[in-house]
Amino acid sequence: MPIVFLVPAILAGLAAVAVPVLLHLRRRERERPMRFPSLMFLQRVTITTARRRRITDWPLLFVRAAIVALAVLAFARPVLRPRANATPARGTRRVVLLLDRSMSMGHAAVWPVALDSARAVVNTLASGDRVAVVAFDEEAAIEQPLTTDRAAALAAIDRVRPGSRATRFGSGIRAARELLLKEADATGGEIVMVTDLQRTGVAGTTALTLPPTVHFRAINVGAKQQGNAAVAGVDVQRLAGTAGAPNRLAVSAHLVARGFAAARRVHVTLTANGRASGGRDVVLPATGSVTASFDPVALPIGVIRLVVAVGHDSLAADDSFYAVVPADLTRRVIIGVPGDLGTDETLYLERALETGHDPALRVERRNPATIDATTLRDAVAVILYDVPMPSGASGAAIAAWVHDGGGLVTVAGRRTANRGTTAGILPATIRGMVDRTADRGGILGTISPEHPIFAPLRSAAGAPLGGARFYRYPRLTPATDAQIVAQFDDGLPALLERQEGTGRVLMTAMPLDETSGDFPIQPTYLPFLRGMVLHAAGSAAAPLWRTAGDGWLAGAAVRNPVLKTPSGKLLRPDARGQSMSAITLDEAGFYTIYDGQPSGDPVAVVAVNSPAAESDLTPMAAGEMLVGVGQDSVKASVLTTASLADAERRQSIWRTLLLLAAAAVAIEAVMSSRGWRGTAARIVSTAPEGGAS
Amino acid sequence: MADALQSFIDPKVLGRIGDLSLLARNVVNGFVHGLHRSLRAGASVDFAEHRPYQPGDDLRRVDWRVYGRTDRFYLKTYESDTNADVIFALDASASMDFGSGAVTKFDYARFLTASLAWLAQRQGDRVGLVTVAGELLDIVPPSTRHLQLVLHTLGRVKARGAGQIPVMMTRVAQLRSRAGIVVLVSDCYEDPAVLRHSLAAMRARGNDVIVFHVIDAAERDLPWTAPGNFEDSETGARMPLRPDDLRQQYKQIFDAHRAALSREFSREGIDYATVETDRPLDAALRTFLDLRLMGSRVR
Repeated sequence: MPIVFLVPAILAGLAAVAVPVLLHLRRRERERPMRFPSLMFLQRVTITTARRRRITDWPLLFVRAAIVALAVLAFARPVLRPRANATPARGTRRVVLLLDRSMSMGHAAVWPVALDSARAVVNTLASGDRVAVVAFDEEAAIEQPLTTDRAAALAAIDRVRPGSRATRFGSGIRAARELLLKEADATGGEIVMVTDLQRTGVAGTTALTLPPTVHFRAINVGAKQQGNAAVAGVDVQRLAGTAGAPNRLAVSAHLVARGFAAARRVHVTLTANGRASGGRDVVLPATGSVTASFDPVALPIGVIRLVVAVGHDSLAADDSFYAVVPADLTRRVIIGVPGDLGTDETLYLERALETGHDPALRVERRNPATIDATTLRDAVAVILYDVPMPSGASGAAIAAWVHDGGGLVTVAGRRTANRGTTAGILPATIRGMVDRTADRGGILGTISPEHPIFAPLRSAAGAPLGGARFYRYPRLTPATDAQIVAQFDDGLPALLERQEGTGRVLMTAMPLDETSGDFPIQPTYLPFLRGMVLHAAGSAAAPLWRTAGDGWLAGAAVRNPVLKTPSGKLLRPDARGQSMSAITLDEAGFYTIYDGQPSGDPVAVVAVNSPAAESDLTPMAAGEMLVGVGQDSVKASVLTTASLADAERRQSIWRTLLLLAAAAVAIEAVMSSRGWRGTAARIVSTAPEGGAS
Repeated sequence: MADALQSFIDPKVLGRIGDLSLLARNVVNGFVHGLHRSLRAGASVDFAEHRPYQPGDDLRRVDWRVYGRTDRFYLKTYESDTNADVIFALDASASMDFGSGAVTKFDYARFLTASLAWLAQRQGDRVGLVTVAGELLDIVPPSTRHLQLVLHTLGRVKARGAGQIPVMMTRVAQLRSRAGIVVLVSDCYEDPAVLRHSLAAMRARGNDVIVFHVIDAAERDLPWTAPGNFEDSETGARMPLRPDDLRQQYKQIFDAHRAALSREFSREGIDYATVETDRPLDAALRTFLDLRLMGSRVR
């Protein structure tokens, strides 16, 4: 195994080995001459010099030189590097440098080291070697394709900045693999990843396979002190004012601490629309979470931008949390009903939806044919209650709205069953009714307990939905891309879901009125309905904040969207003829969306925060990351991926060298203080040839 | 009493006395008290002879009693009229700046010269000094009033440069107007024949010449055991040597040099004495007194 050095520049200090030699010789010249009154008589003595060595105290000189050499070698941080398999000759290598730019890399002790390590990788290449620079977080960006121009590679490294997104090693490795293998004469290469090896970033690498000819190694630049405090989220609640008092807003923040040695007191502040609105001192555990509740503040008018900040630590990116509280937390839900439908038939449904808050739902009955894009602009969900998908402009508007993130819930009933409804964007075709009155009604047989709709009911014991019975329900035939969320006990689908674009379409065969079952009087009715509608609303139900890396769709009503990013840049998404524009939210902070010109009242304000998991700085071993990367190359890859820094830390050769240097110092002290003299003869004189004159 | 005397003239003690005048006075007084006799006794005004009057003689010195008996003018002459010039020639070459004991050869030579000068002054002699240190020549003409000047010159002179005994003797000869005593204090790193030739001229003029050969124990015995570079104090030349192998031969050569010096000097009637820096000064003082009071030809 060859020895390499993490800081090879220090090896220049080996020149200092000459210092003891020079001192030795100089000292010898200085000390040895013994003044004597006159050599008049000594010159008459016949002397023959047989052998002369300038250096006499070889052992002492060796010890002193060893002290210097051992110290220099120790500070150069030597490491035994496992020999890579079939490493190409220098001058023909192809190296892809992966530079982690995720939020955690913004740690004060990490990013400078990462840049130095990346530059060191480039600088150690031989002339003729080619290198590419790829920055990655959740996505990979090729900053510099394979080139022999080191200056270009170094400039590409300098362009990379840590962002707000999460770590995904898989994205970087895939991009690097593609770079290496897309060339016709590809014969392998090296992937060097500079990263903090955050454990949360390993997702997505298990199915990743690297060819045996591609060697992978990771340079761990993670901070030794992994303590980090972050604001993980906020809860917002509107409090109605009493006796003429204004409405108030109660905000509480969830703080998470990881990896600290001891509990610590921190100060948390709340800022609403740029004004300091509260502060709290809380004690953060060494590892754990705590909630800081602020005193309610008077509810400002309009959209409220909240910033909760905790005292800065080494990783400042997650010390502030952004949220946008809409002017009205009530979400609009449109119920499309047939013209012959009485109000009593949807009474339970409407009452159930309008019960509850955060968000509160405001139900609006409409004829499906009157629904258009304007109607859908601020709606979060559309419920087609026993009515087929409208045709014409209304149907197109609904389909486009769903495609761009809207939520559609279709409640199948006897009308749609008798008419026979084809799927289209719906997850199932409705054909006829099932009558279970003979066997006292059916119940739900199986459900997907992990589905978000059933999350509130997960802990409930007994039959699904509390044993609600359904006497008559439509027969649904699922579409090929539909997911059955719940089934009746006879195996027919009871609830189906289908993804349409970025929106969701749900269809339920469960009767929601009291004429075909007893579900409306079951306690599970209300949470099930709210869960189903809110799940269908999905991304359209404007959350208080989004996560960096999420996509955001400018609604079709925004004809010429202009985004102002948290850093102040203006973006104009290119709709390219599509009804809506998609923007990736990369930065943490507030995105402001305008229509046309970036002035006046914004169309929307979006708060973006770094992924909560990115605040967990827990590292993993380099080899652990590559489990599953190629069956044949796993072992070799693991060996070669152990970063030099990790290996050096593990091997601690420097410690041994310093101990040896200390021992040499002790030996040197003994030899010097006890009058060690070299044993080599310098002068050999022969017997005098004659007497004195 | 003997211990007290030794303490006054022990080189180890003298080395701690910075004032040469005080040092010389202590040495001489201690030495003289130890003798239990007055130095002035030998310097009394004793009658020597009568000589016929010559024109120009001082009439006060005419012996009128002889004139009364013989009717001729005779003058009385006395031995004590003739105080001698004592000129010290101090070798200030770099080789003198060597010492393995408490004092260097040069320090010892200065102590000796100062003490002898004090002693000579005490018995009425005129003292002078000649030193050559490198290119610097210090000359103090002999005078009864020049003792302090001699001591001051001894105090400030530094040993350096090559030995220049012939040059020094030439300058001494230029100072002499009449016979006196010339005291050479040197380590005698010179060819004995050359030294003899330089001093023989002084003897030819009727001077008494005393040579004090100052020797350090280390240069006599070559005691070193470790090999090393030996450097000539005067020339700077170096020789890598193993003293253990050379000691016997060196001592033979050194002793032969001393014998040659003694032989050469005795041929010219020059007194030669060796003084070793680890020995008290009294031996040297005694040698000087013996020569001055008993064996001297100078009156």
